[in-house]
Amino acid sequence: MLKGVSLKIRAGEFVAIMGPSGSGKTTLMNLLGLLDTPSGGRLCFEGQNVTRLKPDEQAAIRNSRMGFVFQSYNLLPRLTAIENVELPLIYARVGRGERVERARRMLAAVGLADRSEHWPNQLSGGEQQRVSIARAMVSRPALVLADEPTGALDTRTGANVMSLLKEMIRQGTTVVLVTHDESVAQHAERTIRLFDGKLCAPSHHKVAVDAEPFLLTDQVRKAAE
Amino acid sequence: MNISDILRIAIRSIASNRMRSALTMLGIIVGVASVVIMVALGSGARAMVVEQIRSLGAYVLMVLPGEASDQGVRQEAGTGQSLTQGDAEAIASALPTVAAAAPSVRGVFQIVSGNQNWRTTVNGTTGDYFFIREWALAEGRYFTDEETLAGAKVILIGKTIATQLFNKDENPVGQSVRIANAPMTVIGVLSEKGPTGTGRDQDDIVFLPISTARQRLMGGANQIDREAVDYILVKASSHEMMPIAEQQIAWLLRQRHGLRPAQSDDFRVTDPAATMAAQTASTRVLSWLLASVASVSLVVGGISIMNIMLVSVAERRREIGLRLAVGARRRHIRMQFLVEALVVCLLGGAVGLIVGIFGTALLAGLAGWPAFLSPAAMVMAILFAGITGVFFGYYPARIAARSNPIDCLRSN
Repeated sequence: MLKGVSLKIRAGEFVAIMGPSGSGKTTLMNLLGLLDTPSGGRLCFEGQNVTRLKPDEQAAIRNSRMGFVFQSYNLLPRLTAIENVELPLIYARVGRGERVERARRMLAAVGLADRSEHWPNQLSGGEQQRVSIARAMVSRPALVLADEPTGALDTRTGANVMSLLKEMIRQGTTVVLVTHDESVAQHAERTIRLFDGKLCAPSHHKVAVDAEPFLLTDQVRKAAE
Repeated sequence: MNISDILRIAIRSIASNRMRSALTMLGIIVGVASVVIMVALGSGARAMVVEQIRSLGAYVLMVLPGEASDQGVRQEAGTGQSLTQGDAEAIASALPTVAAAAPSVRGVFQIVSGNQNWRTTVNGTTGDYFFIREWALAEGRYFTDEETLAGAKVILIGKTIATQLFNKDENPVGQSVRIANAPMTVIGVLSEKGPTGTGRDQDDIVFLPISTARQRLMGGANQIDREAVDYILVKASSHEMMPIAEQQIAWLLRQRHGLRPAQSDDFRVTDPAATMAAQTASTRVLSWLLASVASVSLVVGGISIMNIMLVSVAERRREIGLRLAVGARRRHIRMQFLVEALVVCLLGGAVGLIVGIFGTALLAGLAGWPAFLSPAAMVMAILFAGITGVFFGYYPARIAARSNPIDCLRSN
């Protein structure tokens, strides 16, 4: 449940969202990721009002403009690593040949070129998370939403995953990250702190790059969660 | 997302849940197999009846005398002596719709050959009888018109008689047998006709010229009218002419018997093929009944598919949530589950078809039931399996497509 949350995220920004359990982090992430519709307020994405979209319209934006990284990876167990990476492209109607090629390149980019035919249960946690990052990036999204991406990983593999996320930023992708871990949040340019569904004072690690307003939630209220 | 992507996802999912898929298919397998077997047995039974009708001979009508009456007590049909050999000759010569007519007398006699004996129906008739019934010879020859007129002591025997009275290596033709102490020479063996629809053995029969039968065997029995016959077998000129021939025979016989309009017929004209066709109709009803029982098992199979698909949707909520999150539209999810149900049903249908074909072969081979595999029934069964898949797969697929991605991702 969120109350009176108003925020802008600029294109190419790296934002961390922090807050105790039940503070509304997940709700905010679901709203930003168009997985949920707000019960009130306004939600804009790339200059378009996306407050009231139909499920299929939301799906179209998620498919082409967004990528998701989950704490529990959410790889499909019956698909190989490369098939998991291909998944968003299947729904984007990308032809088979191009799909495989792009997925292969993306797996190589996360350092798993030699693991492409492995099943998820044959991969370590860190490797699975890298596959899911490859899946999030394969459709060249504008925004990647990462929900505790290092939450289930040890420090070393977590650092590896963080460096991949930072590589995304370097390439111009906007990353919004939910974390409990201050040291993870330190990587971000800005940390948004939530408490009881309200925004605490924003803290800037760096001066934000001045760019067109990219994403904005205006007084988003979520009545029920 | 094109057809081949959807198919690949469906096949992958079916292959990764082999046990569940097999169980899902079971109902469809049983349904399709039983449709195939039932229709095969049904059409086999029907073909057997058709074969029996054909064994009667084409366009055959039978004329029977009316019942005898003794002081108001009526005897069974055909016991009268109103039909004569003259009637048969008149029917054959006067009516253009009639190709041939054969008068027949019959009785049951003991036949003795050497130390073998056999009791059977003896039919006295003319050579036309075999033309009317299209009854071919296995060996020997028919009796000639001269022999018929002269009352020659020659007989034709059915296959059953040949096997009962003679050894396998013995040729019955030319052998001498005794019927009611009259010596007769076997001049031919008739080809096998098989049993009638009611199970009577058509080959358990002996034929001899009608005049011979009267003089040697039945002289004493027909004392009232030595010309009387037990029945007349008539062949109409074509199938279309049968009802006309029937009417003309009746008209002719009424004229010949001098019946006034108020008097009822003292004979009956019947169409034995039509009687058998009525039996065919009842076997057709039976085979439809069996086929509908089989369709019920298809429906039950369909319901089990719906059941298991619902379980599958519930178990795969995370997958559905993830697919929705990465951008699957609702129709993609719906299509995925629908195609999965369809593929399971079609696979089940294909397996059912194979089981059905083997089952039919087994029943036909071991139990000796006549069976004909019907390609139309097979196509129908597969088609119904597919329709079952779409029909019963739609509801679970719709539930899957309507899921909320957040709830799905959160579930375990």
